[in-house]
Amino acid sequence: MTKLAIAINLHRCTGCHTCVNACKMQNNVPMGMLWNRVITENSAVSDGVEGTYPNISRTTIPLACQHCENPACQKVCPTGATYKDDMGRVEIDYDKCIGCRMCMAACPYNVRVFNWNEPDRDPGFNYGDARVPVRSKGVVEKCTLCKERTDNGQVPMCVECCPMEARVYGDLDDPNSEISKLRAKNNVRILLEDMGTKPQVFYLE
Amino acid sequence: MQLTSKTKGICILLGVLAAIGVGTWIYQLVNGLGVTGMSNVNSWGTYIIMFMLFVGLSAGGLIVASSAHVFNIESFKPLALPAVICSTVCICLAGMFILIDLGGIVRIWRILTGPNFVSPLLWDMCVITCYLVINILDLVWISKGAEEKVRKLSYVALPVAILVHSVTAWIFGLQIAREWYTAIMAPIFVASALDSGLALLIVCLVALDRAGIAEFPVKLQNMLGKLLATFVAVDAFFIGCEVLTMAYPGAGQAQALAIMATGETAPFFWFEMIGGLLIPFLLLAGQKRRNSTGLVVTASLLVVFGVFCKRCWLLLTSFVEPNMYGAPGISLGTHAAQTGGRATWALTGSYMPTLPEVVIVIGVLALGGLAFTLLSQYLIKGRTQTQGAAGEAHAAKPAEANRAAV
Amino acid sequence: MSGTEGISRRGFLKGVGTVGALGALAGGMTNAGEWLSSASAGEQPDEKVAYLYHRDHCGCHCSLKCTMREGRICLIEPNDAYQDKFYRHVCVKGISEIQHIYSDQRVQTPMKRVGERGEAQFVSISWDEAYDLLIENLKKTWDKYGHEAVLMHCSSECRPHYSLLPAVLGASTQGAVGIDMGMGNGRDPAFGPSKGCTDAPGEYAGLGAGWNRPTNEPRDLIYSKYILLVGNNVFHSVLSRSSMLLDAQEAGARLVAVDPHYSQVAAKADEWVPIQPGTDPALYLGMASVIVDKKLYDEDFMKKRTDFPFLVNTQTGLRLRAGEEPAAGKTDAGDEMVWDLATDSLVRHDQASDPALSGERIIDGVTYRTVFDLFVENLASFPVEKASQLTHIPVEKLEEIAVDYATSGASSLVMGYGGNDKISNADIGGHTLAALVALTGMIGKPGASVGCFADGFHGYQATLGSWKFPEGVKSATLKTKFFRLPYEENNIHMAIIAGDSPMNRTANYQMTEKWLSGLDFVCAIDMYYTSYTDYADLILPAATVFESEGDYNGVEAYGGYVTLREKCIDPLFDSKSDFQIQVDIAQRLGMGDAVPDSFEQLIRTMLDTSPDETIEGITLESLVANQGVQAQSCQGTIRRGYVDRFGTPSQRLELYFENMLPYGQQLPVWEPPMEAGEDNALRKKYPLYFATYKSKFRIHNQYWDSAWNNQFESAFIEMNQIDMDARGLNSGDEVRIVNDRGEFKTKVLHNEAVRPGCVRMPSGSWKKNVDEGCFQYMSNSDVLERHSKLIMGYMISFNDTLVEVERA
Ligand SMILES: Nc1nc2c(c(=O)[nH]1)N[C@H]1C(S)=C(S)[C@@H](COP(=O)(O)OP(=O)(O)OC[C@H]3O[C@@H](n4cnc5c(=O)[nH]c(N)nc54)[C@H](O)[C@@H]3O)O[C@H]1N2
Ligand SMILES: Nc1nc2c(c(=O)[nH]1)N[C@H]1C(S)=C(S)[C@@H](COP(=O)(O)OP(=O)(O)OC[C@H]3O[C@@H](n4cnc5c(=O)[nH]c(N)nc54)[C@H](O)[C@@H]3O)O[C@H]1N2
Ligand code: SF4
Ligand code: SF4
Ligand code: SF4
Ligand code: SF4
Ligand code: SF4
Ligand SMILES: [Mo]
Repeated sequence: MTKLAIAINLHRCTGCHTCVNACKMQNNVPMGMLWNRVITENSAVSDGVEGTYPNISRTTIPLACQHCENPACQKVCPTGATYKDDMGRVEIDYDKCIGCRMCMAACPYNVRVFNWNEPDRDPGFNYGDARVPVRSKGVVEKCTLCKERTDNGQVPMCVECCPMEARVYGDLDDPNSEISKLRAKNNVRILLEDMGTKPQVFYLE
Repeated sequence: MQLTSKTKGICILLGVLAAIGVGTWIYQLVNGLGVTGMSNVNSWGTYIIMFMLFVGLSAGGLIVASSAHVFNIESFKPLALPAVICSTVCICLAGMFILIDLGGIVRIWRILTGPNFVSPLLWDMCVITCYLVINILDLVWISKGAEEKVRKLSYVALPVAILVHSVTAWIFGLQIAREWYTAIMAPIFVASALDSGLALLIVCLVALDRAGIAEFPVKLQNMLGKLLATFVAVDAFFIGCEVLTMAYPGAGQAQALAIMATGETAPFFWFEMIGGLLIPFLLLAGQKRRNSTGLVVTASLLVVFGVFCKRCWLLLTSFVEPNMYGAPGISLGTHAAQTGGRATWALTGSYMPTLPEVVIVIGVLALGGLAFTLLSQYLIKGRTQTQGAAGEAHAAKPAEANRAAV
Repeated sequence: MSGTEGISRRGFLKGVGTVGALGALAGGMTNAGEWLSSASAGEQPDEKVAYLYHRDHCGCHCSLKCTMREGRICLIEPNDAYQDKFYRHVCVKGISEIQHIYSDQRVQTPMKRVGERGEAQFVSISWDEAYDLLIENLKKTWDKYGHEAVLMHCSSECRPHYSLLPAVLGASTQGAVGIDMGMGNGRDPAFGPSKGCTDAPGEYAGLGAGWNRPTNEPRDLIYSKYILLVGNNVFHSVLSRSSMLLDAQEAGARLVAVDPHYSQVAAKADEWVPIQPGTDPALYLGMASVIVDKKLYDEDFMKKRTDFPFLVNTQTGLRLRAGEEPAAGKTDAGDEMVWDLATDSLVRHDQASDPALSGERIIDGVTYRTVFDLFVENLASFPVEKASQLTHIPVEKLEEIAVDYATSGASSLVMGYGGNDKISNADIGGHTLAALVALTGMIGKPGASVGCFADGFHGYQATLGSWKFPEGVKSATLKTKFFRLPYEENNIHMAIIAGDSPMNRTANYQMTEKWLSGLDFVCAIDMYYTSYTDYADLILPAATVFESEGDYNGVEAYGGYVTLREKCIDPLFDSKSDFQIQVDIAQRLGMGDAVPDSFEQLIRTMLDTSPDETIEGITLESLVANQGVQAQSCQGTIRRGYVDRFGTPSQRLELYFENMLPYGQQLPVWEPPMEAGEDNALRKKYPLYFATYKSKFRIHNQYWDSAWNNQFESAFIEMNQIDMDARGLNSGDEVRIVNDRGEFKTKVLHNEAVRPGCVRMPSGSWKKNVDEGCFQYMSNSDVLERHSKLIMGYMISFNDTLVEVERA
């Protein structure tokens, strides 16, 4: 079996947002929503801090679908539009999505976005990878782990573009992959582990 | 059968409101759910609140009607028909709210071709369909006077009614991601279904009585009022349990409690606690007060509105604080967000229904009112008139006659 | 939405919006959609790929792989031709070009002013009309005041593009710039030019020229054991090349960041040391004190490679030179004398086997002391306690930093251009940096270097050939510094300006606006309506680097590579490439023969006439075949400067500046910032230090119209809670930022990363990004005479600025 995943080294991540725009570009993500975003944890301002000057710290967390092993979103989806594929990715079949947004309520990470309106693109054409399907209003979308790229042996766009080399992509079922080795280390951080969704995306501290 | 001109007037008004609602819904279909106040952070709103409310409201009717047969409570039997009409209309409205909330209604057939049996929403759609069928059968059989069938059906209807509320509760209660995640969610739903449903039924019965369609004796009003007081107490007890469980550990859930008690959803929470539980209970607790139609109706309306408030805080509180908190927050996906810049984001959830949403809700309610009026006109009045013709005539003005005694 | 169809609703709306915003007559303005469809005409529906190097002024020069579909850029990725992942990078800005090049702020056609200067009222005109207008005004100015009265000035970003026009026009063009040379002004004279001072055949232009450039390239950082980062935020400012710092950290280097604010570098470092702004020279002086007190210096290095043993005449302050009585200002130095302990005699410094570092000598009745003795005496008046008091860094911390720096074996000092470099005492800081190197010998070895990494990756830089103009076709040197034009007598009457240099590169921008208003004619060449374009009589729409008429759009040598800029798309709207604009003007002046007729010809000239052996064999064809990137032959070795000698006349590190004698700065002496000093009385009125910094989403004033990047950042100021509370401000409040020079209005956000007593804001926002005024109205344009005597001349003390913030 294959269990594709991304590891993000939080120490190397400078919150530069390159992966945010890279994902938007690759996947033709319209204005007003993002599949991948970077939050400054527990801060009300980007690149803010936790604590009081000068006793402060900052964690920037790139946040996209965690491709959970036990995906809450997939369970609740009435039509099977959201599914876990045989490469271990959580995907959405837009043709099956009835826009009920059960999955959005179910996902603990708030990484799913909905086309509330007709998608509005700036620039006003379909940019990105031509293989990525164009979504219409009324469907939910999210990180696909760059299905169109990873299906063809390419690494996800956010991984390709991360200038800090903070992102590692690979197969968790292959014990020799770099990502498996990283996971075996003990300084792994799983987001909201107590939710039991068992994210495949993980963070190194 | 002829409608009175007053009834006609009401029907026309309701019809116009319903038509405006439909028009607005078409506007929503064309422009997308972006015309509502929902967003990626607060992804469910008024429609789902109304859905929860109406699933609950539909319960009271069917439970009263079924109990009449299951527990053989003779005095409830005359109420069965109005109760089931009420219940049928409410469950239809609940279903409509779900459909209105769908972004991709054109693909709804996908549920049939590829159902995912672990989805609580799928279960809910199934039980609601069953429930609707039961209601309709009940309606038909009661109006036909098929006593035996009605009696047998009641044995199915009662558990299904309980199930509908439990399953609806599970749509929320099984979501570990949100504050809804609690085992008491189903009992809470059932309890509030019982009190709000019964309260609505009482209001409807009084209305039918006033309209001279069906008699609602004070004795019965007193009895139902007492029952309602009991249901309210049960509801309060469950909520108490939940709130205590949230508050006691002082951890995670206490934050949600703070939002309810002092934050964004506090007005709803406190209205429910005081206006929706405490006051109605006090009003209904007195044996004598229960004979006052004014007080009973006031209490009932308060209970219904209280439960509406409960739906609001129950749903919305969970959307306020995202689990992963940090700037810039969550990309909203709304019209405003599409203009870019800071409007793209929200750190925490907030929600305010828009005009189209309100108009659509009013339209659906009007449609419900219309359906209830017409159904009760045709099924009850029609039936009593036929029965009356057969010689078993009711007093010309049963309501007034009855009330006069109070 | 029409999707792959040409016209987009947004595009249409945007076109309309632009006209409205400008208050221009609709004339030739068109929506982006229409231009897009014309751009796609004739293209195959399938995709094609081109490679180009992106920006210059973030210092990263990333080579990007661009995919075009139907004539539009739809994907931008790092160029995978690079084997070394360190070079295969792109940043958030590079990707945002997908939207940014189609931005609604693009100048679409030539625009002629119709309103008053500054009102931004324009009408669209044709290129013919535009060129006629320009040439008419050129001739008028030439006739009246001569060719030198025309200024041709560029922002850094487009300066390399304008290699032809200044010569064609015989225009005055920029000299030194007053920016990013604050510390270099004080450090570089001590090191001298680096030519031949490295251990590889490749050279690096500019090392020793006054820019405080890093003496080793960033790839060398992984050999460092201790890296002291002061006043830079390279994770923003050299975004795509900053990963090396993390590699160094993973390789075991200890990173200590000194910054008043909790910058991203501070957040990633092993330790953050907050400092009072404007006091960096005190930090360095304090470190030197500790090193001297604890005798942590490298005597061998000091004797062999520095001027510490040089003898100084205690009466005149001049150094003793061989043969003759030394005279003030004498430049043929190199023959300074030292006292050789081996022979106990006075000898030329390169003859001594054991030069004395200390000791007073009386020669011919004159008392001489060594530079080192003077330095130590100088430091005695600046104990570490004083440094601590000024910097607000505890004494123990200062001592620890100094000890770690001096004793880690391989230490690097990584400075910035943003912090103290833009404060009036920066040269003193730079001078002290040289002193730290002189004491410790931390230079020219693996992991030992000093300098500012903040504006580039500073690897090798091959020399390319340049276009040869016919006899007599040449530019003139601007006699006044550009940023002094509003203040000094000058003969400039007309200006052609490419890029918003007037707003970016001059402080106290209201004065610059006045100057612009007073010129006879101003022609702007830009891609966007920025701030200075409001003052132009004519705006020529430049194409971005992704767009060109011919197949190629540039070649450059940077960071050990030669890189090519291939054409991605045709010029959008009615724009023309910078190259084409120059050629068109030359042709209209009858000088078409003086310039190349295609960019391809220029590129071939630059490659073929290059004198640099390290790029031999690199041709246009070979570049195309290699996805537009080819390494210099020396790239296999890491560049290290001043390995065995310095570029000074004595080939030693010369710490003693005779030309600073009139200012008492022959050896570095603490001086507070001219405005932002803690004791300045002006603080009563304007108590807050106004710090501008580089945003990761922008390059100066570039990308402030990027819809993708504007999602993440706005032109807001940030303050600490203490200062907000003192003014009763809440996050999101509209505020007025004021001082005697001007004011502007925007919103304030609370950010605890900001040091109390400071206001922080990303530099470069356009006037339209704030609610009123301009951030650059605030900055300090005063100059110090001392600076004019240093190699880079006057500096702009942008950050030496005090303000007050009040609710608007
Ligand atoms: N993204 C992006 N990259 C750029 C540029 C850009 O505009 N955008 N511009 C390029 C150019 S031209 C330059 S010059 C460089 C500049 O690059 P940097 O020098 O890295 O830039 P800044 O962000 O201006 O300042 C660096 C740090 O100095 C701190 N600082 C402020 N005052 C003081 C002080 O008094 N003492 C100390 N120790 N620190 C202080 C600030 O808090 C900030 O963190 O960046 C280059 N790279
Ligand atoms: N207050 C304050 N002011 C500062 C600073 C600070 O920290 N604080 N930093 C200073 C520093 S370090 C520097 S280096 C300067 C930088 O100031 P500049 O050198 O002026 O900045 P650039 O980003 O190089 O140039 C930007 C301009 O060039 C235009 N441009 C970009 N590409 C092209 C092109 O291909 N063709 C044409 N024709 N135009 C083009 C852009 O539209 C824009 O108007 O700013 C300085 N200003
Ligand atoms: S691109 Fe890499 S470093 Fe930048 S925010 Fe994303 S993960 Fe972090
Ligand atoms: S992160 Fe959310 S959307 Fe992604 S798989 Fe997990 S539950 Fe589903
Ligand atoms: S919105 Fe679409 S993907 Fe999500 S649960 Fe509903 S049908 Fe499934
Ligand atoms: S894997 Fe692809 S879709 Fe997912 S965040 Fe990265 S770029 Fe976006
Ligand atoms: S760092 Fe960003 S802006 Fe600079 S050249 Fe690279 S991609 Fe372009
Ligand atoms: Mo700069």
